[in-house]
Amino acid sequence: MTPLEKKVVEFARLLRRFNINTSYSGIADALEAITFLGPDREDFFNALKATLIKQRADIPVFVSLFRIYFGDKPQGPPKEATGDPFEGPPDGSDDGRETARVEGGNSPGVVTEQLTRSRNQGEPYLLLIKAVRENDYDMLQYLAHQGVQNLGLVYPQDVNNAQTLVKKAKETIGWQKAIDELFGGMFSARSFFSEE
Amino acid sequence: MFSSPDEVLEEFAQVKFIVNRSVATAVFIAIKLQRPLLVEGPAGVGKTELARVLAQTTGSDLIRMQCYEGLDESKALYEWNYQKQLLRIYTDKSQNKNWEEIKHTVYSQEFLLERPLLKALMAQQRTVLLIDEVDKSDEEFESFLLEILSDYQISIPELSTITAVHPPMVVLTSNNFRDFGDALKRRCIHLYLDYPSYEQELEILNLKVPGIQQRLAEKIVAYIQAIRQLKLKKAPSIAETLNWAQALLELGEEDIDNDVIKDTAGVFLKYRGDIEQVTAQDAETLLK
Repeated sequence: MTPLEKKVVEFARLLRRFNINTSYSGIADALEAITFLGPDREDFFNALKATLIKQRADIPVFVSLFRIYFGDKPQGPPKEATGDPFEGPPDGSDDGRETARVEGGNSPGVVTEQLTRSRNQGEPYLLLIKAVRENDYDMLQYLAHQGVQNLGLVYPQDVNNAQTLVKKAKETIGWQKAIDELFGGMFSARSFFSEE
Repeated sequence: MFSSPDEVLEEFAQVKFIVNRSVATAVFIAIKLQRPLLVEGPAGVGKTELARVLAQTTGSDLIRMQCYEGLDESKALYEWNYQKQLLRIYTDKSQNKNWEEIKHTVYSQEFLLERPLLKALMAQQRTVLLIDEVDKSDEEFESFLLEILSDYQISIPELSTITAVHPPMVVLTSNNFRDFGDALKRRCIHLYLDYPSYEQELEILNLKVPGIQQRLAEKIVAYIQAIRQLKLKKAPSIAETLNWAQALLELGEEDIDNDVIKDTAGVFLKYRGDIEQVTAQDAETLLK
């Protein structure tokens, strides 16, 4: 396996940690797809998106994780000595749009507004509780996305500590507080974090 | 065939179909990997058109299958032409032919009614198979489809097993009417086709409605893009942008203001509630 292939597999594993269900056939497709493409970062991004992502709701988290994992231009993480052909980020133009649209979800503006308000109050966990109670999948996706974004820059080697990353992301959106509220301390958050 | 996503972009642009690179890459990968391309997105962004353009640019035939609830194998794959078979049996019988002979003749290709899927598998040249609105079909049909899309072969018990000489390029479209199975999704290269960006839509408008003034075109696109962000029952599609531009051109309008919108909103909005909601807002504010 080349270093690049290895990174793709690791990246797919990272996606799975964030509840994006990447299948083996998806990973195989991704590895095959990149052999047909030149050393263009945007192509690479699009190829992974087309093969690993199977539903629209996963796109925002994918975009965030891609930027985090493969680095953002120009103030991205230091390049590794793996000789990767890509250096900058994908030209975020259209995918930025997608992110914006999905954030709007079915109720454009409302979600964002709610979130801004709750963020101002410093209480995204209230939104989390509401989303769980109402089975509001869009909102949960949005919060997950937010959690990932809150992580800021993550270095590729951190992927081995995916659990810690997930935990950190969850903390930024008030996961523990929400669990306490929802289940009245019946569960410790630990049982949710340890998936292995 | 295409050798890079850029070539897809160029070929598509030649037939006036403007897409972004992300779309071109997904199409390119689907072709290279010989995987079905699953296109999702709101109505009117050009999902079906994508398949048509793909056929056109690759010199393939387009075979289209529209899905609906209750679509079954006999409508999708093949059916025996019973009337014709009966007629043949009747004629043969009068000539005292025995059953073995008759059976042999009536179960031959001549009496087979080919439906889209079989047609695509038996095609002697490259085809694009468009399976439109796959989310409207039943779950049973979906698993049947999965089987065919896995090995591009089907068996007709009375006849033989048919394997595609040229596996068709398959394009499935979905409006997310129903969330369909993971297994089918896993087989596919996924593409979410969204409304075009401002620049793209402006390019499309200039291509499709030549002779429109640049300033007006810019305003039209900006306005449409703005109202797509509102909570409408049916947001305007690209076709509706074009229709509206054409209408304004023919009416000799040179600018968009509240009056013009009140008079022409019916061109790009199809529900009364939507029209009321949009016309209640000041055009200038929306354009900002």
